[in-house]
Amino acid sequence: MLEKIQNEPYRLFFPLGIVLALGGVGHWLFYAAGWMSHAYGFLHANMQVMLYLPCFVGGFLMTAVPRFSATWTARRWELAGALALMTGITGALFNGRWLAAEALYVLWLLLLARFIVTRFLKRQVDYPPIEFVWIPPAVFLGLCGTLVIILALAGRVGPGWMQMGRSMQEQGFLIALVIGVGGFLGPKLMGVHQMPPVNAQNFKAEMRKKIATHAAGASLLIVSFFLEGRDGNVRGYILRAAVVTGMLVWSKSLNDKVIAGPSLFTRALSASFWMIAAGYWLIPVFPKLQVALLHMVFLGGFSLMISCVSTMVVLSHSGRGELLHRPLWIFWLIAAGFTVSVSLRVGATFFAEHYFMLLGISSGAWLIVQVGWLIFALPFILSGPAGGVSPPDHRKIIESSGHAC
Amino acid sequence: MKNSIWLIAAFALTVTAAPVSAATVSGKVLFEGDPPAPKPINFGAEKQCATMHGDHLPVNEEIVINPDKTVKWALVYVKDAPKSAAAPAEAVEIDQKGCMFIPHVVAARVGQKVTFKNGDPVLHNVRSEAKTNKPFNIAQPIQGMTTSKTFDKPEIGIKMRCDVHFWMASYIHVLDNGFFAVTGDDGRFEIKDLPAGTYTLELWHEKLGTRTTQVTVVATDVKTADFTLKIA
Repeated sequence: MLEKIQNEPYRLFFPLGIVLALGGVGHWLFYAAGWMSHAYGFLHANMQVMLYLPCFVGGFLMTAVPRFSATWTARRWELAGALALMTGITGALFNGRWLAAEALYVLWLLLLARFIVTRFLKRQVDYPPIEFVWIPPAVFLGLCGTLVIILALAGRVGPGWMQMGRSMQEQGFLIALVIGVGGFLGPKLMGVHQMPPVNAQNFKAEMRKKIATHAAGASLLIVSFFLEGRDGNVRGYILRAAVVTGMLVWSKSLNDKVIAGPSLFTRALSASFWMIAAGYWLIPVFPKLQVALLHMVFLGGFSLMISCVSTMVVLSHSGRGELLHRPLWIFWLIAAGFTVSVSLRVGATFFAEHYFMLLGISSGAWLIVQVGWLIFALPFILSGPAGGVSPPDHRKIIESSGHAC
Repeated sequence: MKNSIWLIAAFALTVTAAPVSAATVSGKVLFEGDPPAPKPINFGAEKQCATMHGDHLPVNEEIVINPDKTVKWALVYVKDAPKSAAAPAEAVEIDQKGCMFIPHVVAARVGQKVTFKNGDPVLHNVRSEAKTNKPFNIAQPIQGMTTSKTFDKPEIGIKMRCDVHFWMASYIHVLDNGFFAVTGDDGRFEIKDLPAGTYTLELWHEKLGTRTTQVTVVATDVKTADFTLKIA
């Protein structure tokens, strides 16, 4: 099993992410049911941002990057380090050691960055996916935001900086990865990716143009966080919405597959991109509903995308990629569960007397999806050869990435 | 003759206009002993709450002793006063501002509106720990939103909490008459327009306990009754 995990770290970190998320979200359900006397909003946000999401991000990238770079798989110390850091962050959060949790998260970001950079520098392919240029800005925003939070917690800068730090940490890291890695993988999975005609003459020019466009987008995204500033200025969100929409339209991640997609999986994946864009545009229009609309981005966007992509990873690495576009029960559960969860989470804002009950039901629906996913995925995660399998659809994704660059 | 009629009319007006209930009971709530040091609120990781106070971080208001050694936030009320007329139309307001309930203590009449406002850009809730009245738990997720509640029965010391920010607490006292006061920065109370009679004056404080005293008033009396509290 250890060899399987070294080859494909998602086998460890995807289930771990769900177990940790049960704690990060479950307490809303317990509070609504009267089993807990306090509602730990800060703990919820931190567990989701520092544990649940990183487990999936780390599990995916630590599996995918060695394949895209044709380099070595995860070393035992890298796995142990990531696992130890997740454990440390969990302990720190549950004990209210916020500063320690943030410091450990910095170490996790650095570990992930080192994992990617070392393999990029020693890559055996000429051109890894260009979209992966978003990974450095993602790590930058995560690190920058966390360091600002640490300084605010330690009293070295005014507490007002916390707002900006949290935005960078909570949103910046993820949205950059969605635009980059998601913008690379999503269109292919949805069947909208079109490889442009390539010849020797225009190849390098095309590459330079693409890199320049991505670099401009990343720069503007970073600027949006400084524009948002310490007082949550909506101008930052307008710029962010424009960058996100522009990049996702350009990559064809925003498309009509949410309605016209051939499978539940395709429609759900397409919906996740739309939720992110819609959430970001609605925030400057309804600034007082920012928290609820950010849940549209996180829940309907990032989390739904994770559920879809992780299902793809699990199936394709088990040699069962052909199941991806079938109406499996897990896709019905994902579609129904996320519809209930997102609707109630956003709608709860308008029902003060029933707010916590609606939050509890929203949390419960989301938790059912996560547990359902675990039940679905575990047999695939636990079985399969040590080196994984590249069935035709997954191999095509890897091959097409080489040609697309 | 005409003058006599005017004189009689003026006398009758004076007699009928004279208030029946005009007694006033006032006093101070004093503190005996060394005042406890104010405890600053520990906002923990909720730095956004701390931001709203700048350099002047608030303190725990469980026991607030004024500079002149009087006690703030004590309720003084006439325990056995006759029921008054209908509750006032204007609402009593409590704001959730800077992740604190402001004011810390209010008193309202049975049936009078109590309006809770979220003055902060963060989620608060208002959970009442009423024992005689129906308890409630209302969320206030949007800055500026208000929710109004009324209490149907008299009840002293209803604790209100915010479960998202565990240090937030306030008290609402609900009475079926208008003969009450909450002490402020001067530790004084004044209860006006009390009908003639003998009454029990009760003081209630969330930490320093209760005290009672008897007071007898006639029509236009102005009586003084001081209380002294100490930490047990």
